[in-house]
Amino acid sequence: MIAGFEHPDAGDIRISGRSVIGQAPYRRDVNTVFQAYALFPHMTVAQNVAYGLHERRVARVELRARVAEALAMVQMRRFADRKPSQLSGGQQQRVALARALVNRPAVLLLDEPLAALDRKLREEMQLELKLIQAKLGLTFVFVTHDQAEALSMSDRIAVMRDGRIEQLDDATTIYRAPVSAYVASFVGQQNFFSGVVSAVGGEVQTSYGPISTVSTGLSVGQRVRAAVRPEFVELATGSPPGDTNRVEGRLIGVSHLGEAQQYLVQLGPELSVIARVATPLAPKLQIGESVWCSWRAESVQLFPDDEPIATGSLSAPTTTAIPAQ
Amino acid sequence: MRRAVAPGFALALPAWIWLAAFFVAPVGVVFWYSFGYKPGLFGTHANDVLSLDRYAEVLTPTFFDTFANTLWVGVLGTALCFVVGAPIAYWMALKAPARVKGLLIALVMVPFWTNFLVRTIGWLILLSPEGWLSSLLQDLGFEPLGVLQTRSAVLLGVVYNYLPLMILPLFVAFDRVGDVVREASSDLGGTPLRTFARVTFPLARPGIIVGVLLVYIPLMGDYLTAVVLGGAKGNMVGQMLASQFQTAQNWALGSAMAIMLVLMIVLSIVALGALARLIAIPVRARYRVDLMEEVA
Amino acid sequence: MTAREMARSTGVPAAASAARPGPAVHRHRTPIRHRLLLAWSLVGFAFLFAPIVVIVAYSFNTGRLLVSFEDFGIESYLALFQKQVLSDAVSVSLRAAGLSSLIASGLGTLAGIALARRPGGWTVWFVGILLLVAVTPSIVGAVALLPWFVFLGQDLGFGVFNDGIARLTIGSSLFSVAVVAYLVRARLIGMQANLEEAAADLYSTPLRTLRRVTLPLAMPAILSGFLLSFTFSLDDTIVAAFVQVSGTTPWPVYVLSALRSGLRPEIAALSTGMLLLTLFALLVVAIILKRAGDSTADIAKTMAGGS
Repeated sequence: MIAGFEHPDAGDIRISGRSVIGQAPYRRDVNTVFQAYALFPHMTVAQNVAYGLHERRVARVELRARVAEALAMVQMRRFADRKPSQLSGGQQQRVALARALVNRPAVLLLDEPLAALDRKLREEMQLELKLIQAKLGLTFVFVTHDQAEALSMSDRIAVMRDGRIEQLDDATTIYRAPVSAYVASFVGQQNFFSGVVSAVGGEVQTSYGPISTVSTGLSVGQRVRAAVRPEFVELATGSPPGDTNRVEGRLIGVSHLGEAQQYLVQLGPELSVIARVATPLAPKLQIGESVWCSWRAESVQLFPDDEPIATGSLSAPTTTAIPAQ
Repeated sequence: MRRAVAPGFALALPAWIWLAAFFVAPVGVVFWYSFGYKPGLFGTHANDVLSLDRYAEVLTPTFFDTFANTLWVGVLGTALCFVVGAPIAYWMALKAPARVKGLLIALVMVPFWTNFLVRTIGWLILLSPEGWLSSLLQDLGFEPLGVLQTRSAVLLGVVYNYLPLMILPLFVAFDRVGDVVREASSDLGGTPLRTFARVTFPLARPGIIVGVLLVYIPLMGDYLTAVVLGGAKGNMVGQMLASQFQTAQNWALGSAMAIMLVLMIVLSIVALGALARLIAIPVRARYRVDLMEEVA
Repeated sequence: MTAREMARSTGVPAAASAARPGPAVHRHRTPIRHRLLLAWSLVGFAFLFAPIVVIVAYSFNTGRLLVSFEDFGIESYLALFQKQVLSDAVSVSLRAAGLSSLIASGLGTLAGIALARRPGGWTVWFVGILLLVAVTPSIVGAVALLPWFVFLGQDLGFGVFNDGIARLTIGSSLFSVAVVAYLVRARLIGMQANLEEAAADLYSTPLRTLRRVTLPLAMPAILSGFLLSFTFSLDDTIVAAFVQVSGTTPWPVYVLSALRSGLRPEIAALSTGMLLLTLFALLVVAIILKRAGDSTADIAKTMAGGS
């Protein structure tokens, strides 16, 4: 819709303050990096990049200079005379980026541009995209299903559910203070406990004992979900000191994530808690051992129980990342 | 190792022999006859004296006018087929709802697979001066239809008869272009017309060439349309050379006409291809992007 | 799901950057050029069907002449069963088409397998001939066959070439051989050769591999090639008009001669009947190809004669 291929049923889209509703794609100051690149197979790399400039009747000398500059920016200068079919996926991606950037649009729309690349290449391109964005100062609208990609690349993130924006905030806020259980569960992992608010101070009674929080604004007796991120959960073999939240369970799995260790602790027949500890600090624990999980009241967030949560990749929400100008 | 057991040639050999015996050989014989002459009232051909006289005879105005007429009908008919068929194929491939595409193709197939002669007779009924279309026009105060037995009727007939043969390959070609690159062009500022000129058309070009050839070649050799709708004034080479074999019994002259027809088809295709390339030169130059120029 | 797909499925703006809830509801209008294309296409389809509708309608004409419609009736269809000459013409066409499509699918299948699996230096020449057969105007092939059959049958004394059915069979098989070869080749090239290599690895002799593996793989193409050849042959008018022997007149040639002696409504009835037969055969072809996993565009290509 931003690019103009679909038409909204309601609402408005404004670019630089002007509404573009009813404006054809070819009149909009928006360029897109398509998911499947959509390079023109019958043109060389240079002709592909020059396409938008040709259509805007840019003079020959300037056109050449801008094409060369755009290709240099994505390090594809050497391949200018090749056809897209002679390029690898990553190279085609770069050409698609150069083809959009060369027009210096007000908004650059990236529709899951990195989805088809392998992980290493994807991370390289993420970094490069960020550098290019910083250098040009354009607005990038980056559509992705990869929440890590969204968090690492954006200035502002819009989490979308069923075509509506669930939350629009910077990455830190989205992660630390999600407005709904949906956002909380979609961005990063969460441990959820169902319970009933038992005290106005923010205590929640669950079937695994009371959980104290610092949340306000919920009334006593309301059914809620308490959410705790795995990295806030600490593990110990003995009951931890102080008045933190704590539950006891049995360690049923450990997985090595590289920079962190992830533990799976079973509390009861239906509930397990995930705890993540940075590798240098990770305790040595045996599978089957009885362990205590603890976390501070400040790291608990409460959401009304009737809100849905994102269940893995099945619900397929979309994250839109919008760097501020 | 499998190659040694049964060379591919052996499997293709029966078809080879069949086509050699009933296509290459007879066409070769026609080629041979074209250098001969008609020996008398009752002979059909003789080759004891070889000459190019039959070709010279073909080039006299009596016969050559028909060749010129055929070329005119062939080029104009193919062009009209393209003008009429291309928007239909384009609409079917790129604008029609996806779920009706199969049905639309089936609908194009029906006339294609209706007997050529039968559908031409359909036009004969429609255009006949005694037919209902004519009486409708007369009721409205017009002259009765007099289009039959003219070159226009032949032109209408060939455009109709070869239209499905144009639409089908063009449909395949446009369908293959797809939406993605066309949206990319629009996104980069290409207006619909420019998107067609710079993306859709070049990508569909191989299919367009196939469609044009598929129509042009049989159209040039058309026989039935001219017989049914043309009459004397709408004469085409196919009809003329057929009559040399069937009524005039001058196989030598008929053979020369057949060879000349094939030659004319091949030469006109080469000429049109060269012309198309010539037109493409400035377009190519316009959109060439040579970065090295700027470096040097 | 991409942003666009999602936007499509929900119909709510995905445009995060500046989408503000507002009362404005947008009705998107179809551009004029799309409507023009649609109108042009509808007129085009009407044009394509006009003469066919006319033929079918006039087949119910009870008048003596086809061209002037008098009254509605099915007399012309009854004539199909009463007039010996009409049923003879259909029977000649069916026999010639059956033989011709058998020959074409046999020769074409072998040639197609050879082209797909054992390409070599000979391929160029063979494809060249197939192409030549396909692009030579049929009138040229037709006039060439007439003296050739006379030469073979009368000068060399091969009696079979004086037989009407044999002449029609051969005449209409040539184009069909090229079509079947093309179809079989296209299907086999789309499949891996390693199935056959696996069979050979399992001690299958080349002949058994051909029978047990290659032929079943190519079967959809062979069947549709057979039916296409059948309909080609059934409709073949030009070649048949030249090579036919009096006494064995196929139905299109009968129609052609009726054109000179006066068209009666039963010609339209005959044509309608043959059209239904052809369409039925093509429906079978389409079903076979669809089952074999062809796309609509593939089927369109096949139906256009594989060109």
